Amino acid sequence: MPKEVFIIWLVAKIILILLVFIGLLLTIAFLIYAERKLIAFMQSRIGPNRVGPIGLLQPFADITKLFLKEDLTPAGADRFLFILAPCISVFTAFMAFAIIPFGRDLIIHNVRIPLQITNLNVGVLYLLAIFAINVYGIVLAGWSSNSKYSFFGGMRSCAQMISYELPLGLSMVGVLLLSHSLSLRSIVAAQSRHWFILMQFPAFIVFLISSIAETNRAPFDFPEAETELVAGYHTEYSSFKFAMFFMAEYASMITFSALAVTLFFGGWLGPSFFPPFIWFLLKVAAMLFFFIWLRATYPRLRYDKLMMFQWKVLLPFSLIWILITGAMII
Amino acid sequence: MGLIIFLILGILSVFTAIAVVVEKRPVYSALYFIANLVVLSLIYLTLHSEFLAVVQVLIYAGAVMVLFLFVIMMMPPVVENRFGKMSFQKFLIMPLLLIFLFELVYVLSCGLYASAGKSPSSLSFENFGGIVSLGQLLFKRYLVPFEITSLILLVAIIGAVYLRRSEQ
Repeated sequence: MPKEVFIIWLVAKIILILLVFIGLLLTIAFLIYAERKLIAFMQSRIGPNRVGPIGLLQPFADITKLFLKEDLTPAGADRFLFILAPCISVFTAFMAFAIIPFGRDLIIHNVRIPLQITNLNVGVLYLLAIFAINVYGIVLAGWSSNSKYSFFGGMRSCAQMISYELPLGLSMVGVLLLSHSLSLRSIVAAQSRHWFILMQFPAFIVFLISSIAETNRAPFDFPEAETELVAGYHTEYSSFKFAMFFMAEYASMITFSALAVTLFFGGWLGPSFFPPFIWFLLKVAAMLFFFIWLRATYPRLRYDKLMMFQWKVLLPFSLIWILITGAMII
Repeated sequence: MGLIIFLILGILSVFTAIAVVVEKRPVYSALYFIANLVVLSLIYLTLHSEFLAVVQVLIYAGAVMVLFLFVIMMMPPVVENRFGKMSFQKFLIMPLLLIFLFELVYVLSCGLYASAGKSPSSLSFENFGGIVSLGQLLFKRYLVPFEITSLILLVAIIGAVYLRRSEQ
C-alpha cells in the first residue's frame, strides 16, 4: 500500500470510528426519548414534554441529572468488581457494533473505504463471543453489590442469557448456509436478489425471540423485574454507573436491530431512490420501533416458563430448521 | 513489532495464570482465568487463526467459565485454609511438576526438530486457520474421530442428565 493511500485510509477509518461512536451515543439518547414518547402514545398519555420543544431535550436533561447525582457504593460491596461490571457491559455493547456494515463502499481519491469499522472473516462468531462476554457485566454487578435483589437478578440473567445464546447462534446458521460466509459484508452482498427473511422466516422468529431475551427487554426483562426484584442486578447502582448500564441496554438493542437488518433484511441494500445508508437507518428504526412496541404490548412472562420454552421448544425447533435449510440447499 | 506484541501478551498470560493459583478470593481467581483465556485468544489472533481465537472466547470464557462463576458466587467471598486437609498434595506436586516439565521440553524440542528444515510457508497452507480449511479437515480427513468425539460428548450429556434425575 503506498504511503498517501495508507494515510487517507487511516484518517478515514479514524473519522469513521468517531462518527459511529458519536452516532451510537446520540441514537441511544434519542431512543430513550422515542421509547418514552411512543409508550406514552400507546398508553394514551402525553409523555415527556417539558424540556425543549415537545420534550426533545429530555435525554440531555436526564444525562445531566445522572452525572450530578451522588455516586453510592453499598457497604460490603466488592469495590473493584462493582466498577468493572458496568464497564464490561458498555464496552461489549459498543464493541459488537464494530462489524456491522452500514453502507456501500466510499471511494475517496481512488481509495476504497468500506462503511464498516472492520470486516472480520469470522464476523458472526465474533458477535456471539462478544455477547457471551456481555453476560459477565450483569453477573458481576449482581454479585459485587452485596445485596439479595442484585444477586437474584444477576443469577437469573446469567441463566437466561446463556440459555438464549444457543437459539440465537442456531438461528443464524440458516443464513450462513445460504450466504456461504461468516462475514457480514458477504451476507449483505448475498442478499442482492432477495432478502433472507423470505427463505428464513422461522429462523427470523427464533432470532427475534432470543434477541429480546439477550437484551433483557420486556416481556423477558426478568433480571430487572421491578415487581419482584426492585431493579434486579442494578438495584444498588446510582449516578453514572447506572447510566452506563442503561446505555449498554440501549446500545445492545441497537446492535441487535442492526444485526437483524443485516442478516434477514438485506442490510443497506434497497431501491435506489434513497442512498444505502438511509435504507439502513430506516430498517434499523423499524426494528427498534418493533422492540418498543413489544414492550408496550406484552406483560412479563413467568421465569420458569421462559426457560422451559427455550429448552423444550425453541432449541429443538431451531435444530430441525437447520436440517430443513440444509435439505433445501442440497 | 510482532515480537513486542508477543512479549506483552506472553507476560500478561503468565501473570494471569500465576494469579489464578495465588489469588485467595475464588471469584477473582475465576476472573483471572477468564483474563488468561482472553489473552491466549489474542495470541491466537497474532498467529492469524481468527477462528480459534473467537471460539476460545466463545466456548471457554462464554460458556464454561460463566457456569464456574455461577457456582463460585454461591460460596463465601474468601475461602480460608485451602490446603488444610489434603497435605499430601504438597509432596505429590514436585514429582508431577518435574514429569510435566520434562514432557513439555520433549514435545517442544520434537516440534522444533521437525520444523527445523522447513520454512514457515511450507508448514502453512492457504487460508490457514480459517473456517473453510478447518471444515475441510474436520469433515474429510478427520471425519471418523470427529464423529466419535461428538458421540462421546452426547453420551456425557445424557449421563449428566440421568445422574441429576436419579439424585432427586
